[in-house]
Amino acid sequence: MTRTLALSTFVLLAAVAGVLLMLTRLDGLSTRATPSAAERMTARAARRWAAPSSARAARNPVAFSPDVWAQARAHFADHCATCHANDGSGRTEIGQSLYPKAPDMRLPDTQRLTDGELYWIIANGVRLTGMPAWGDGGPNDVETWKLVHFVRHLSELTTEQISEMKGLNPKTPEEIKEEQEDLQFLNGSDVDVSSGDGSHHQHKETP
Amino acid sequence: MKHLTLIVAAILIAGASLVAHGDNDHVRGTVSAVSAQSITLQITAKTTTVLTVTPKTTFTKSGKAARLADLKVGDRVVVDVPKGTKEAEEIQIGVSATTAKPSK
Repeated sequence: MTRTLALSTFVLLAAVAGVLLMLTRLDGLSTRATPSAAERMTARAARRWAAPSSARAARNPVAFSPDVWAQARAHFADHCATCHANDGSGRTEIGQSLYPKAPDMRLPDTQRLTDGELYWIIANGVRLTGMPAWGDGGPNDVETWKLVHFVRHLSELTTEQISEMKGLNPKTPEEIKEEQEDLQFLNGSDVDVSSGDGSHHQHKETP
Repeated sequence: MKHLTLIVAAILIAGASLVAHGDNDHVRGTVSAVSAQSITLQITAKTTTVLTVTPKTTFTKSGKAARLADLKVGDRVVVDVPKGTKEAEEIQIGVSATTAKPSK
């Protein structure tokens, strides 16, 4: 009886695996895909589970102030916004092409994490995702704690602050040239928009 | 048997559907019409485009926050538009085309 059950289970699982393998061969394993609900649930659980309990309870030793807020914005714009976007939405070319996608950190899934968990994730990264480990990995990296403040205050970002952050995002020489042309155009100088499709450009960063 | 179960579980977790993502289009033009729902841009002498204005559309002028009411016919603008849409995500407002200086 036990043997029959084991054999049936084996055949069933083999059949499911065969179908899935066939589907995989048809569609491939592109990171453009949207993770399934089961994967999202697993990834979120793993993110919480990754931080040891001692790290979860850690409190931010850096007091929040306008200076800290400005420094954190500049740091985030330079190091993090390429994937996470200046507003933390994750809506960037790279962020949305990762698997899993960069999360919208303004939403409860991220905001529910403790300061210690946020710190741990920044300092240690998240395995099997695009999130690398930053800083020295120790528990007292001041710059990382400032980034925790940044994540906590995402909902307070103003249009001016996001605009200011855009100026601090890493850029290719082509993007710098395009920005200069935009500015010239907005200020009234003629930029060559009549030749070809000069009025439409690819622009990497969303917010 | 145990290994097979693990492999099948891994394959199940890997299952997903495709979705497209990409860059924003970056549009330069002069406003030829403006309403609460859309703006029309003169892109070249013979080309216009209509972009949708939504509650999520943000406006800036000289790096500061602005509003739809600040946008006038004749203004030069640079608009970020998510690829594959006609939705204005961010509109940077510049000077009026009437005050623009042609390049030498």
